[in-house]
Amino acid sequence: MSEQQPLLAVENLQVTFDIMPRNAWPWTRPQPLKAVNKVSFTLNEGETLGIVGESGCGKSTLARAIMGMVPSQAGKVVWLGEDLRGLNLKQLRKRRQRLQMVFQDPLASLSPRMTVGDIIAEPLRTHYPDIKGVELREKVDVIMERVGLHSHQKNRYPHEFSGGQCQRVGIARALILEPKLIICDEPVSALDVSVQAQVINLLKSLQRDMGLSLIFIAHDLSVVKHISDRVMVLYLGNVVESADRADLYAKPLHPYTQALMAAVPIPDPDRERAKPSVALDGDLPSPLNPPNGCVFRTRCPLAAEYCGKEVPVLEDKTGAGHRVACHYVDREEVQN
Amino acid sequence: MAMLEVNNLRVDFNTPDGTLQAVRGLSYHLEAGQTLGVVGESGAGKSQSVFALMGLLPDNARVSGDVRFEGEQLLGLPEKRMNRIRAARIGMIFQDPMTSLNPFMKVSDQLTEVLVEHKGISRKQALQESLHMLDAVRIPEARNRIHRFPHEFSGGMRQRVMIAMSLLCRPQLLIADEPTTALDVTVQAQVMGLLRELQQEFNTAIILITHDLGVVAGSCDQTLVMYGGQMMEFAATRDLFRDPTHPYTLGLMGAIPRIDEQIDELVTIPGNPPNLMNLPPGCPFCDRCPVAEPRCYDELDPPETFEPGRIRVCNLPRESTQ
Amino acid sequence: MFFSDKHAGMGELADTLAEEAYTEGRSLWRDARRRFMQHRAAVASLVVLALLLLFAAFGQYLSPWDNESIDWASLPNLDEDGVPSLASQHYFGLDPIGRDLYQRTVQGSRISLMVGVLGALTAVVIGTLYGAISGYVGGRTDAIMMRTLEVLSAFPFMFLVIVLMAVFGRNVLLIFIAIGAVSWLNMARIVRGQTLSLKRKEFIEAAMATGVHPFLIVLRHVVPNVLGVVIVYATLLVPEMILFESFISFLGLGVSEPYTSWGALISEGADAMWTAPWTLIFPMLMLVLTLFCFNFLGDGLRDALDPKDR
Repeated sequence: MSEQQPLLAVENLQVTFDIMPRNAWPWTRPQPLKAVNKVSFTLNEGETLGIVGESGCGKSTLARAIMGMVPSQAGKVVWLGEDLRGLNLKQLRKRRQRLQMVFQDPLASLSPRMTVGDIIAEPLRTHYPDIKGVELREKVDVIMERVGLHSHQKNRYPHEFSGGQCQRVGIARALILEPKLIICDEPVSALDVSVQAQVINLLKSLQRDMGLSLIFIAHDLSVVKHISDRVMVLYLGNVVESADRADLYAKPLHPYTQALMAAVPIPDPDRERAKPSVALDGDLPSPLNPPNGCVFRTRCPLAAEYCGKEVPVLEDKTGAGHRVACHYVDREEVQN
Repeated sequence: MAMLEVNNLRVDFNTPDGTLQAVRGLSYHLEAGQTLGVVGESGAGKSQSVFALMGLLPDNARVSGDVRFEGEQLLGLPEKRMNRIRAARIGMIFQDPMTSLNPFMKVSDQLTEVLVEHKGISRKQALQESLHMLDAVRIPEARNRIHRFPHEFSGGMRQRVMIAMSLLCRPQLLIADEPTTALDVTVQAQVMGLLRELQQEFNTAIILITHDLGVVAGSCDQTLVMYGGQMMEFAATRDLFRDPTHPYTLGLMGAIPRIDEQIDELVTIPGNPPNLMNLPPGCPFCDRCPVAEPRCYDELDPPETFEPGRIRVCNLPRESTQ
Repeated sequence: MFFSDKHAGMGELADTLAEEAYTEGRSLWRDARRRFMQHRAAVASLVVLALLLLFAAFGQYLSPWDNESIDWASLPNLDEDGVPSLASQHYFGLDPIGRDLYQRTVQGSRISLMVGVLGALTAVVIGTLYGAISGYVGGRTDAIMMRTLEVLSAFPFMFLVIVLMAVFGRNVLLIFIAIGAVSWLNMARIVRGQTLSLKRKEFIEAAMATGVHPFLIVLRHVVPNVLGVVIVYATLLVPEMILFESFISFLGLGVSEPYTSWGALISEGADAMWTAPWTLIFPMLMLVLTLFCFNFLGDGLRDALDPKDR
């Protein structure tokens, strides 16, 4: 790890939602739902962090909590040396200039009654109201061409574009303020395969050219593998494993990561049919009532009685930054 | 004779903006007990081509061609007869199980209703049979769960209930329209594994519509690649993956990020999925095809069977794509 | 490799797109207009309403009479001389005290239409903003705003109007105030509901993520997207307001003489129904025609602005 100050350091971030139980009275105390539980990571400039997990693992909530769009209950979100959690809305809005987001549903993330040009210009208008007329138009044109759209199209409306083009508009909107970090919340999962590759390549080339950092959230392990430097696996709001991309994919240590990887279908009939099946049984437990001890124990093939008693700590088991939260991963064994 | 034979199937939709050509000249066949994968991107016409056989398209659709299911012409069949076939001999699974489960009815009632209606057995027997089927799709504690409502099941479980329901009458053909698209990978693996096992058990033929080449690779005997409403390539799955012969198939395979290999740069197919309202008269893939020739815009050669069981639809010779 | 250069691909993409690019976009509003034009009844209603508006605005110049003076010549024998006739230029006949009904209908149309449109307009402006802010801000503010609304709508407005009339005398302005106060309540509820569902849309989140000021989010992103529903509801609100005014006038609490409105005319006409049926028929025809037209118009607008397949 480098010694420089990280761009973003998240420490023990915790997000809890209050859920009203069914048949509740207005004064009934709501039940807490821990959507994100003590998540910590750092992100350096120019780096890409992939966050993977199945639906309901809290990955989108984590993204919104970093942005300050969802209130977090504990922990720190240190952005360029400053804790974002202590800021008021006005200060936060100012910081968001350098911290942008791209969303999952390309069409739904664009205001249906605004032209594409207006949508892309909106961040600029918001933060730099002095930029007007020709200058504004030129900036929009440049960014549109950069993401592979034609600037002639800026008077069109989102519904006239295909999904891939809409996602390019979303990326252009995120880029126009020249941010340092873009949080991509499942940016390609709603796109067709061929278009998905276009968007991934676009993000990679933008990152190279502009020195962007990315947080890339996805449920698809193979997409994350392709774009990330480091990968973090979430389960029920908890980080179960986090490592450099190469380490994680070469040797996943947590049983959940292993099962997740085994479940990804390989587009090669021979390999796909030959691979051992490590099917995970059962369903995700309710986050309102998570298992005690290790959160994964209800579906874990290795689970023993002990797993229900003690919460496994997320710790570096290889000495090379490969952090795992599992009682079964033995430090010595892994290092040898 | 194959169990299902589709010849020159064509589906058009009348819309206020003009005619939308969803499927053009599609032909394929499926043997009993086999699995056919239909892959393609959005707008490829994969769902429409299958809904057309089942008579499930909306009123503004015009269907023509020749579809024979065990020798019987399916197109233009009276609604009543079609209903019987749909219920008893062809089962369907959809992407969203809630579209075919009634949210206000208990699962037990929905399952037994099908059996009582189409097999004419008693309610008690039907309940027994339904329980068997829920066990077959590995729903734990089926005996307790059968009396619940659909929304009390998780996504994966609901899909299992759907599969159970579609298999109740032991159909010869099961049509699965993106059955795992809405599910997480681990659940997808469970459901696909289940489908494979059930196929062995009941010897059901399956048409699997999907956009995921990985799913096709794992479960299908034959694969049909569609683009812009037309067949691009048809082959045994192993052959197709080992030696794809169509520029589109090649591009598609290069575009998938793989978990089993390290790729630096994904191959992309330039452009966007076609607009079905104004397709070129020639090959629908022409303006995204890296090897397209001028004549590809105006005409498309008829399907070419270059090996037994391998069909490709492309103007260019096979060598040009290797 | 087969697909060699991705950047070349990108350029190609831009080129193919440029060919088919119209510089002008097809906005959702334009789509809506096209769908609206296909709804024949709605278009016809729009034409009829336009004619009605012209009638209210300029109708008075078509007749030599005015709405106040009494035709003394015809008064002694109203049952025969007061019949609608082109010859006497009393197109709609005379009212029970000998005034020209045509002119009175023209004048009444003005008041009635004005009440309807103003009521709907208040509803649109106050209701939309109130509802959008309440829905968007949420939490405590929402709770307080909605409870206030509930208190207001539980208030017996008809009673209030009667009290006001009794205290301040009959006055057109009071009617406007009374109607304006009632009309926006439901609108605010509808808009709040719409806003709540919009709030979860990603484009609102996107605007938040960019750092747009919350009030601008409401104005720029929420309001234009609820406007479709608002317009539909507003058109359906116009006849409701007209009816409300007619009801007040029918009770004898509406506009004061010499001014009149459809409701007041109908009330007078109803008294003379057996001797001079035209005094009831003409104003009633106007009212019914307007109500029908606005309802058809609302129907057409709903189909145009609220298509389910969007």
